[in-house]
Amino acid sequence: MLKQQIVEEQTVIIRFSQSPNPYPLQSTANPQIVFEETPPTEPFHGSGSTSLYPNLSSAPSNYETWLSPNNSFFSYPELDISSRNYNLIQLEKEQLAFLALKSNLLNDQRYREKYVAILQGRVVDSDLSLAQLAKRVYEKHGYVPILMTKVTDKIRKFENSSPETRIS
Amino acid sequence: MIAYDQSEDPPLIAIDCKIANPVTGIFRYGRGKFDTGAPLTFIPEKLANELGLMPNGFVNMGDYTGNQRRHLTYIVNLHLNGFDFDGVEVAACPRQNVLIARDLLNQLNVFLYGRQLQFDVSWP
Repeated sequence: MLKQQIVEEQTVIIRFSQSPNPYPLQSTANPQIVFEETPPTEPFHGSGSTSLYPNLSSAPSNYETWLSPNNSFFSYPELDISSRNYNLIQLEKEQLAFLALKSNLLNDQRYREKYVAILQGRVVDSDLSLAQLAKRVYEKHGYVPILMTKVTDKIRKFENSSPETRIS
Repeated sequence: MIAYDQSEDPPLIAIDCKIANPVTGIFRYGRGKFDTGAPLTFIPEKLANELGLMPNGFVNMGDYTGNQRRHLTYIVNLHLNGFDFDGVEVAACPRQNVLIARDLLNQLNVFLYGRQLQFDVSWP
């Protein structure tokens, strides 16, 4: 079934099929995806583009990684949801995988108090620096939803005491 | 010396900033408010969408009313009027401008000259 999704930021055409695999392998087939960016309605102010990761292709081609080798979509075949939601679903899965792995990671001196990158339910890299970790994993695996979080027994919880005020 | 932003009353400490997607290089310019009460830098959700940022995690944040909310975090390159922070983690929420918090401010020297409505920023 071929569906066309018009979402806020982009237009994505995706070939859907029944595939239960939540973690597809990298696709080598030609995916039926067209990604078309639409200009923002209200630019933040100025805008432009200079890539600091020149070895990477731009974001649209990375949508291929959501396809399994038989060129089918990995899950939620009948849901008409945006690509942004797919990113969130994928990240939630990685978060669940991290929570399942967390006690083991805390007991492993290779990972404790370091940032780890979780992709397809497993640790793919780690570093003391989040910036260095992000650079490596995005270069290696593409710009896809990868959970990068610190392995620590401290709860990551913040308080933001400053309200947003608006002048009317 | 940089003048306080007098678009609000009372005037605030704000600086021009450039937020970039670290992979695609797409960037936007905007204003960043200094907030020593906030622990983590925030960007507008709308900006995160415009830049095509890929979320890298979640953070729980309690607001000034005590309500807890989970926010997505993103890795961005942030340039503050000549000061570059590459690969920093920021959270996104529905707001109009960037909130520059202690995670970045603690890496800078910031001098406030409140009576003159001016401030200065430098590397330590």
